[in-house]
Amino acid sequence: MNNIRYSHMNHWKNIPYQRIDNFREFYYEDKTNTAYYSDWDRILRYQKALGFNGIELVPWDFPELLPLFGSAKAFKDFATERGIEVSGMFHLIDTAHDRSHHKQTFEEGKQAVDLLVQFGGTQLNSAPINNYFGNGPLSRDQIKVAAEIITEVGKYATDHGVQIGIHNEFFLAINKENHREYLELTDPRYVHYCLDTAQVALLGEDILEFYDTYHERICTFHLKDTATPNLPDEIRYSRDIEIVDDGTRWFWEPGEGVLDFKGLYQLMKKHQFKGWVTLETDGTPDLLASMALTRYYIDNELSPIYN
Amino acid sequence: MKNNIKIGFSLDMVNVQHQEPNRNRYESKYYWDELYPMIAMAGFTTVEIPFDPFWIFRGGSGVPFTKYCVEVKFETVAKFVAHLQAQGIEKVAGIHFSPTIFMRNDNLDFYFDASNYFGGEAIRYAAELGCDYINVTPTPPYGLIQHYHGKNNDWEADFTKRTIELINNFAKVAKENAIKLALRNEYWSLLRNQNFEVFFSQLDDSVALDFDAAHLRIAEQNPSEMVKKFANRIGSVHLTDTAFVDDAKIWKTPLPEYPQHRATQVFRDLGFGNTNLGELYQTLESIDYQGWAIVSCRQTREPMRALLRSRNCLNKIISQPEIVNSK
Repeated sequence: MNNIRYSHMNHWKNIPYQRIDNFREFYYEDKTNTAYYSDWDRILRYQKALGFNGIELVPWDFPELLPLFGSAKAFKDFATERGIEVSGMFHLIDTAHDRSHHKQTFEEGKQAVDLLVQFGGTQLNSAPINNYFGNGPLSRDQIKVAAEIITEVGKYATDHGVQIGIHNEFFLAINKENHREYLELTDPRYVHYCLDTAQVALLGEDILEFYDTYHERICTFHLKDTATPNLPDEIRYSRDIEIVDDGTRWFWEPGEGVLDFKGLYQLMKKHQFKGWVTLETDGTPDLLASMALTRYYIDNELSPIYN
Repeated sequence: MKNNIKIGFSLDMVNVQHQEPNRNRYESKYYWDELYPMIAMAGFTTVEIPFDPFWIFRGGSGVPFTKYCVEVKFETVAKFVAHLQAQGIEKVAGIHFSPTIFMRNDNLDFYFDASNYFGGEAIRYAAELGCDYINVTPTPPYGLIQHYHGKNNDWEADFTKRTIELINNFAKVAKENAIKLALRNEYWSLLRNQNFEVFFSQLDDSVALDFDAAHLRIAEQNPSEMVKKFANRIGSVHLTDTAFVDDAKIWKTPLPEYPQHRATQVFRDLGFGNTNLGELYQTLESIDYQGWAIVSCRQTREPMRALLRSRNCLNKIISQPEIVNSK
């Protein structure tokens, strides 16, 4: 069995059908490719065909996904029938720097863990805090307070068989200047780290040095590339910068940007990483093409180094 | 025949919530900047905007579906309106608000509190945009409410009572902002299961009705007859098309826009269904309707094409309604 298990981050947005049985008829209604992207049956089959046996879900999926299937377990069973398992789920540790909000923050974290358990997943990859714009810069005390609440959620997660992984993003209030301090303030028994390669590179970290230093904390990866690492403060701290007016992309498929994934896989081999590696291609115009492109890159460039 | 019917186009043709290749472009301002002049080029100089609170929580880049997003990109709503006018769009006729986004758990207080707050926001946004009306979807789909609240045997009565309070509060806010409030009763609504006229009688007298051709047709009602019957309560009209026949009670399912037993595009581009839009348009003329008739292609596969298809269809309706009727 391989040490790396590959998953795919669900950026498909809402998929409105469980399974389209009248596929040809539906296609002929308007003769567009909508029929190819409208049911979970086909989406999961695409993933299976391309060797991504896990799926990571996101909270904005649930208002349609849960009523569509009736329950998390029903979705889990549906995916299992197609050889796919839920690897994890994304979550936000909302208003982490404000202790007066912690009761609600913890309750939301608890609900996320419980839901993930119903889906059969184990990785709760969590943005540690809200955006820098409107919240930063944080004081030392606010960083400590933020570390406290994720540790509390982490304790609950651990008790329920879930690993909570800090998923930092380049525009969050935990940012370049306090990223490592925050990580070190969390309790390593309960709080792990999801290394999103592009996000952390955009933040200004050397991902190879960061992984080598913190490899014992890193429980999973979000695998994605960027062409613009080490963004200046004025971009990272600006308002609603994740989606850019002119269509500029922060994220690219592995191999299509400038990050050293071969170096990363050498380190993963050195540290004998075992766990989920999740392809994330937010911003792509074609998730299926990005998935296929990445599968080729993994098979031909990365797997020969470490699998 | 000259009439005073005012035609506009709904921006709900840009489906930001569902998957398709190139969908991501809808989230960037450049897409909208290109779209606005195309709307005008297709002969539509007025738009309706769907209010979508998702774009407050999500941020967004120029998606004009909330006041927040517009202010981030244009500083003020007035500057956004000026931007539209510079692109050939003279007016935002109205806003559509649906509380369905808040039907996501078994907490009814959450649903009604969030709906009340964001409905008020939508009305105030409409006022700042210079709109004439706000359309309100009165309830989420029947099946969606039942999914979360069905374990309570009396949920329909309780939900209806609180919906009346919610809408009457919207009516108060709408009056304060000099906006006409019109209910858009979708075919999947809880109210379809009830005596609508009894429900309607409990609402503030200022509340009007929106008549959506496709919704009425799917609910097995004749749009033209409904328009004649409620001629003095019309708040707005939606010109929509469908070929869907609900022969499996899809309206009672949680996602009624997506019939699970047989996939289909419920709402077709104008002219590609079999709704009798020509007859509806003639009826509106016959009652001397002077309000807005908004074209909506909410499930179109391509917004730019939907604009041109709609213009083609309207040209036929307006000059020769019998052509469209003959499908």
